[in-house]
Amino acid sequence: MKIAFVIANAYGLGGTVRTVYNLAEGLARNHDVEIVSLVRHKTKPFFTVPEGVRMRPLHAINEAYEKGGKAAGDAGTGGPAQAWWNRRARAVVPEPERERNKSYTAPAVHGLRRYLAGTDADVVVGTRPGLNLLLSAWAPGRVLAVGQEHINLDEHTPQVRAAIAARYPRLGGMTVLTSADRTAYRDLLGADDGWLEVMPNPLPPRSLPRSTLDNPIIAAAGRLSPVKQYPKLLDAFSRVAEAHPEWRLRIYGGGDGEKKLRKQITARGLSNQVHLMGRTKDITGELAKASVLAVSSRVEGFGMTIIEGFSVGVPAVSFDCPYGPREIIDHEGDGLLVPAQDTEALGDALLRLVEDRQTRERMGRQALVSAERYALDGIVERWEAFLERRLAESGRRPRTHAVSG
Amino acid sequence: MDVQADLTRIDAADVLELRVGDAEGGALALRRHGRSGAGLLPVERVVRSGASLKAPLDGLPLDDGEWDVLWVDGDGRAAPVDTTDTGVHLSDRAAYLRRPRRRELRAVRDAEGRLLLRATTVEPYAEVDWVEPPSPGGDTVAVRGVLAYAPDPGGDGAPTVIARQRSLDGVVEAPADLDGRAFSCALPLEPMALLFRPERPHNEWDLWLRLPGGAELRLAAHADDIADKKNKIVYPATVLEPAGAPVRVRPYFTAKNELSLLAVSAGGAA
Repeated sequence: MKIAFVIANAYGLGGTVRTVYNLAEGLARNHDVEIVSLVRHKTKPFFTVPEGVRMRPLHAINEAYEKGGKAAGDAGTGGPAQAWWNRRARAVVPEPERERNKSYTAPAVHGLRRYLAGTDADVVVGTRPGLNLLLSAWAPGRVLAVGQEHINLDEHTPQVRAAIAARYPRLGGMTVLTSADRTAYRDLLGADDGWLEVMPNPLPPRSLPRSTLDNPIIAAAGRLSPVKQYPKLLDAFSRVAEAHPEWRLRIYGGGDGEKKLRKQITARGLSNQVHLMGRTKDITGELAKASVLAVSSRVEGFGMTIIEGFSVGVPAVSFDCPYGPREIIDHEGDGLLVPAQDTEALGDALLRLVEDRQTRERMGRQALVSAERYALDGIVERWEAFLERRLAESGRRPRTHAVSG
Repeated sequence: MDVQADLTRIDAADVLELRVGDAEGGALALRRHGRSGAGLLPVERVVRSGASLKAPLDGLPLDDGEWDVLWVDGDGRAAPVDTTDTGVHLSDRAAYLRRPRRRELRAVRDAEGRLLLRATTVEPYAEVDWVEPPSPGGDTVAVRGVLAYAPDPGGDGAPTVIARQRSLDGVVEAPADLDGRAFSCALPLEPMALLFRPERPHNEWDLWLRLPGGAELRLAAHADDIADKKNKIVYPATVLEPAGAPVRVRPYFTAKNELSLLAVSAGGAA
């Protein structure tokens, strides 16, 4: 079949872009796959486009635009046609979503409308609420429109939730990352299980390193933003730092919170023991140097880092926060879950794995087994089965497409 | 035959250990990374020890840079050795630092999973384990660590820590302690504030350890795998006002991972 993914900006970096690329890579082996990008701010995407996958950018914007330039709504002051497309986009995409993502420009929205009218794709998959809403409104009947959600329902604003409740039922199906989120959408939409499916993010098939679990390193990864609650991790790590001064905490990630976090590190006297590692293109290579992965988030929509840690044999210690960690981590099996926000318990759990190499190694072995659940091949098969079922149940039949590349 | 290692480490005697299971009937060789046409440098004296191969690398003529580790089978075909080990084993480094040497070897796994050796010409230096910034109200920075790649200290004179004002003429000295190969020192910050030269907004002070006998070792942190510590490790600053104008001083690692102090006017950004 022919499958198109629609991404707001497929040329940037970010979790959604990365995981959609991975999924596209897997599906492209047996299907015709293209990635439609509402906007592009540069000619070459940040990530390598998977083999056999076509890119279809709809609107080229300059770099300054993405860095907080004009809002999407202002972009169309150039003429009545643009103003008209702006109005059309506003009618479907609620303001908070347009504020959160600046890719809904008039030319991009117009381009999407034209693309949908003309595409011979069997399936079009939206990858964020605004896109899913536009698909629900504009996808022609011959196309199966699927909404993929990368963010939990609870994280959306009331306005976005209301739009979802009103329009998502018109989609041909939707996917979420966790069972918890499926329950939330089921409650909101009254959807049945065949229409609404849990599809975890896949791990791409790569030659991966494996941790020998002998380095005194605890790793954490994710944007330096408040939701990751790194100050709580610093407090938890302090217990380890005091009892075992040779242990280090390495935090991978970038973001606006760096300056603040630096101050919090020095204020706690952890300068020698906490390293701000910045962004890395080889997160599994870095995680494989560690012996424990720590997660202190207030919310983890999925928990890709935990799976990446598992894939290199590193057990995880995490707050039992909504939503992902408790669905990924088998407590006492491949890691430890501690009550959310209980910093002392997080410190105790870290200390336990720091001091007990045998348990670390047992959990590390189990983590490798757990990671297989997220292997790309298996996730691709689940997607294929889901899409075929949705096509059949909606009375559509995929046409035969030559696989390109 | 593809050879895959799940443990790759280099011990203090520069013996490369490869845990490769049952790889048989071949030999190890090295080749400059990225030069597939270059000749092979055979690794002699490789012995099997349990599930591991042990390959002594001392004495091999390795220029600085990266080298592919190859497995040459009975028919003379050379294939890269793959590894799942990142090559980072921090506990091995303490023993590695202890021996005098002019060339450092590290095992590295590249993004494709191939085993590389990285050879680097090194000088003896003073590996910093810990920097203790001034406690509230205090005015000394304490540093401790170990001698790296240097012979055991001997000779006359007391160990001393020296701070030299970069591109200027200020020198500050303070006594240091040596216990075997471990050193510790406490550097007073007040002289650096007194010698602050406002015409140079950043007054950097580079730190050295003078050993009995007179040899001087730069204070630095090279033992682990963190290539660029400058922005990754952050120490708090202390404000001193010995001569009226407040001066802010903080320890930092330079772009070369060497330990220095930075003094700036406390009116400006530290």
